Amino acid sequence: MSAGADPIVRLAGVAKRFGARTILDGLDLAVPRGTNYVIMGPSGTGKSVTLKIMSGLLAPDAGSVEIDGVRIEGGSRRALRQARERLGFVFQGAALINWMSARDNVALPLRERGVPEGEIRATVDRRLAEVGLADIGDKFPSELSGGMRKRVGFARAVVLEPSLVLYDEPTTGLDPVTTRIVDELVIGARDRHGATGVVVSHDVGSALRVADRIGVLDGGRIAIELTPDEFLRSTHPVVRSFLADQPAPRETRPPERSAP
Amino acid sequence: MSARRPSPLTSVADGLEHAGRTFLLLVLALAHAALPRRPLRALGRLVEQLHVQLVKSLLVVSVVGAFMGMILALQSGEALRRYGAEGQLPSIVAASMAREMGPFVTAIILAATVGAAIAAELGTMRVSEEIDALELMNIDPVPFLVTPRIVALGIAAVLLTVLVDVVGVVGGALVAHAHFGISVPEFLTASRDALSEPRMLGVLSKDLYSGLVKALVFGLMVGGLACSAGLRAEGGALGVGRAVRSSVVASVVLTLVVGYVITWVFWVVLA
Ligand SMILES: Nc1ncnc2c1ncn2[C@@H]1O[C@H](COP(=O)(O)OP(=O)(O)OP(=O)(O)O)[C@@H](O)[C@H]1O
Ligand SMILES: [Mg+2]
Repeated sequence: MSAGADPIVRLAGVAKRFGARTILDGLDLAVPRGTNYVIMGPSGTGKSVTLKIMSGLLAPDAGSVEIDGVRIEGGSRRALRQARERLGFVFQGAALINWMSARDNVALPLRERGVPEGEIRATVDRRLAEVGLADIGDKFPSELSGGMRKRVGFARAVVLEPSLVLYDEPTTGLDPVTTRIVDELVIGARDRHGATGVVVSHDVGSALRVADRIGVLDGGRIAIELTPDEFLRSTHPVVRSFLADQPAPRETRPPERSAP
Repeated sequence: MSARRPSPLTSVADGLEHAGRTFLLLVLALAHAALPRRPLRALGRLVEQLHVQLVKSLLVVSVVGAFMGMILALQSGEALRRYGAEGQLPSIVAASMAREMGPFVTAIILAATVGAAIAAELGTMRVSEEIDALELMNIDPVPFLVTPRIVALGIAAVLLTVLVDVVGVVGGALVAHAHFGISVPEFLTASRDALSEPRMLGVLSKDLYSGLVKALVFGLMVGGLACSAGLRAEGGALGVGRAVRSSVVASVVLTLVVGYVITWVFWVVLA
């Protein structure tokens, strides 16, 4: 694996079964600090399960999970708390607390840490403005569109400036314009805040824009790991099947970016 | 999710496991209530929940309570008249309301209104990953969601039981006046006297104690069952529906069973 010397996420030999079905089977994965790693793979291959294992929402049946130097797979609550302090999670369905306004949702992590109200207000306003939603703070999740909810979910995930952000299909189901906006947020989290990102995505265009590296999940492990350029040229069957859905993959290529 | 019917043994095991988890959740929630990390914030959440719960149940509890007292008066009055013992009517209505019907009616209504709403609310939060989101923010769902709901239900159950007792006795008084020629003030005075009789611990009568203890236990139990069912929901909207049903069914059944046990303790063990 060509991961840098200091991966912030390191999964080794991770296995997960549900009943008789093996979902993950010896998954190895290392994500270098300050990069965006995109996990692609057919539906139902265990991408969400992988993110849940990284965040300790699911315990692996075997293998080790290390987040920023903390081993979390053993189920120690202290280790989990410590790892989660530095972790943001953008849920597929946003998972905003439905009886709280957008503003209160973004404020929640700050409030629970006892940050003074004045400071909370300023931070939340800034975060909402960052995702282009400065004026919807008082609306409730049910009054927002799916794309708006995702952006509020993003604002909440990064409000404590985590060093690692996990994104579960951040652009699935969004229109092309909103997809671009969310992609820019994912890129901005890395470039402006120095956060590492692990992005689960179905969307080739979006993946090529945000990724430093792309890992293809197949058969319970990362079958192949590629840069966006290599991805476009790959002959791997799963990669080809993703590219086959793309009308003109060359046009969606991102501007060249030097890998760290 | 498999459509296979679970064997009866599995269902029993599941039921016991659910009961155990619910009990643990209840203990954990009450421990957080006793030693809140942020007392002011915890109090705010509690008051908010109490307000919501009372608003949801006040009207229906009053109506049902009044009719309960009226039915009791009519039924018992007819029976007593045969022996010329209508004079006993106030104390029978008052004691029945205070000991059994008040807490029972309150618990059943709370299970169907507030308990169902809590199971649906927490179930929705579970299946839409909101509970996961809280955990990832290092926010423990127990003090954040469960404790205020359970404690509020305990308090609400006691307050509403007192209300049901009062409207029940008043309802009984109206029926007694209309059918059995007992004046309303006479009925109320006789009820009050009946409810102040064998004192326990010097403050309240045994009738009231047993009823209020029941109310408190029922309230906490309904809250625990609702929260536990909601938090364990899985499988989308259908799963939320299942959580609501299981919470209401378990609450109603356990209200009767636990009610029997408490009655037995007060009137047989402590006789
Ligand atoms: N809690 C669970 N219990 C049982 N099975 C589960 C659970 N979570 C996931 N699975 C199963 O594991 C498999 C992988 O699920 P996962 O959600 O990770 O897929 P995915 O790769 O994210 O797919 P998609 O692209 O559709 O979101 C699925 O077949 C799913 O049914
Ligand atoms: Mg998924």
